[in-house]
Amino acid sequence: MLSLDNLQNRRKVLGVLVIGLCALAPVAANLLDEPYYINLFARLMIWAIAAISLNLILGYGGMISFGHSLYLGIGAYTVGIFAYYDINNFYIQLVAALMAGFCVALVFGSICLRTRGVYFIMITMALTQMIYFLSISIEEFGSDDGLIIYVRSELGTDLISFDNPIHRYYVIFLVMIACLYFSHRLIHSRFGYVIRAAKSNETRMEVLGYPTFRYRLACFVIAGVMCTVAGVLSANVEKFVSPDIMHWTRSGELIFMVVLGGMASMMGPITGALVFWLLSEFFARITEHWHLIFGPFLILVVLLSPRGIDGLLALKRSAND
Amino acid sequence: MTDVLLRIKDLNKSFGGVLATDNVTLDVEQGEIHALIGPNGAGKTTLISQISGILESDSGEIEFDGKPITRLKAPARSLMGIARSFQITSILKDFTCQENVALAVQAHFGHSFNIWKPVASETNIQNRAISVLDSIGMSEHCDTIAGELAHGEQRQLELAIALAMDPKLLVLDEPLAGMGRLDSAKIIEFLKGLKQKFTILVIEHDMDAVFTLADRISVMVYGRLIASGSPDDIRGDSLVRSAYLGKD
Repeated sequence: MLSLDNLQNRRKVLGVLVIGLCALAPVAANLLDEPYYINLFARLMIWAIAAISLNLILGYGGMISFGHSLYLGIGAYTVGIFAYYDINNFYIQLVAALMAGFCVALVFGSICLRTRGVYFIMITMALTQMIYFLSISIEEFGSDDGLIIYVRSELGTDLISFDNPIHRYYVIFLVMIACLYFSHRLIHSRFGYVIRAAKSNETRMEVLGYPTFRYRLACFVIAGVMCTVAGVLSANVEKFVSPDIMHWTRSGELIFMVVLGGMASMMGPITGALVFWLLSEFFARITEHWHLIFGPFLILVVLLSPRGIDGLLALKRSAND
Repeated sequence: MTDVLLRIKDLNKSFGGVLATDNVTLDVEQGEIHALIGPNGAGKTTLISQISGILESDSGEIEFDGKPITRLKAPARSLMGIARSFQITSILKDFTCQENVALAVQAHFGHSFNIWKPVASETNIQNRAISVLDSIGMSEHCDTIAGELAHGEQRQLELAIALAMDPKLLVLDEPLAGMGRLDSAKIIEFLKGLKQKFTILVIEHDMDAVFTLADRISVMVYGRLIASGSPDDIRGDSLVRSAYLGKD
């Protein structure tokens, strides 16, 4: 029997609960006869994937990117633009999106990572806003009205189709689990240790013999590419993409999810995404000006538990001891 | 004729108007323990930051193992065999002792772009980390979170990290800083044992330690090297006495 006195066990229980909830949401939605919830949870998991990728650089690497939604936009727009030209093959779209995400992250990363602190935050945001305004200015692809995607990506098999909400849901679910597993492997690898150590003491790492810039850049690119996948999935849920997906407030929401769930914790981004959405729904029901409550609430969370929900789990232990 | 491992020539560094390193010329010979002493603010730490590559020099040359390294950055110098410890303990406090040391080992075991294999399963890295911790008498602390160690032990770990890099030159910035008498004695003994294996450049304020350990001593005051020689020479040097040792 699992003892809840142990932090690791509490984390496991939370992880099982959250993943179990995601795994069973469509079943529950069908039982409740509320198919609307399937797409809602699919959207939530897409946020979670984006947050998992952001957690790699923000949580583990200490790189506070305020422009991470850019990669959601790259993924979604790649699908949108390919669909616009009647190229609906999923694999072609995916490879193109990953390559685009890779190139942009490589170029932007090598610019941003020359700065630190507030400058890093500002320049990641500025570069993303630049692409945001670019997407607004291209009339061919709908400018600020967005681009309607008439045909979802074709998986090239009759067995699964993105048009089936249940299929779509579980593809997203599996991608989320894969991203979670990947980031788990990554942070425990040699590379992961270098990234985490460079966050806490960069000078030390340089003196040990690590050219930290390269490692941070590689991490930045990995996170960007992973987030691009979330964008590709998003386009297939919404059948629509607009510049809004990469507005800076979206990047801010991603940061909130990571911080809320607990930076540098495995399950943090997913719980963060879930709780973020629940809270915004809850506050939105109370008042139209829900951001007014939500903002201070988030500040309160950061002040009371800097390590978010994951930090609360750890807090309970010391109270018990 | 002994071999010179580290050669510093006419090195300068200023911060604003302050000359922190003023035309320093210094040789560290292969196999010696070379102590760098001087009052606080003399520029000792600045000098070794220039040696380890954290600070860029304004002018002058640094040569290591016969190769010019003045233009190289810190990681490249580290890989050539310069290991540095810090005066202000800069261990990774959230990591265990073994992880701290393993990171130092790993840096010199090829690149670290492997994103898949758990580092805990890389036995060659872990075994080396454990044996370094063992050699410094910290084997029981392998799994201790570094931040939870007592101050003296943190200083020891700092030293272990430098040793784990298996360097040609060990540059130690006040390894005894803030240590109690007993801990100090232990570290002095340990450093004595390293004498045969490493060349060491050490900054230290503990004069007993300096005169016990050092083969040669250089004295720095206001960024300038005012004397360099054997412990006996330094003890007898009137310039040094008045500038530094002369208080008692």
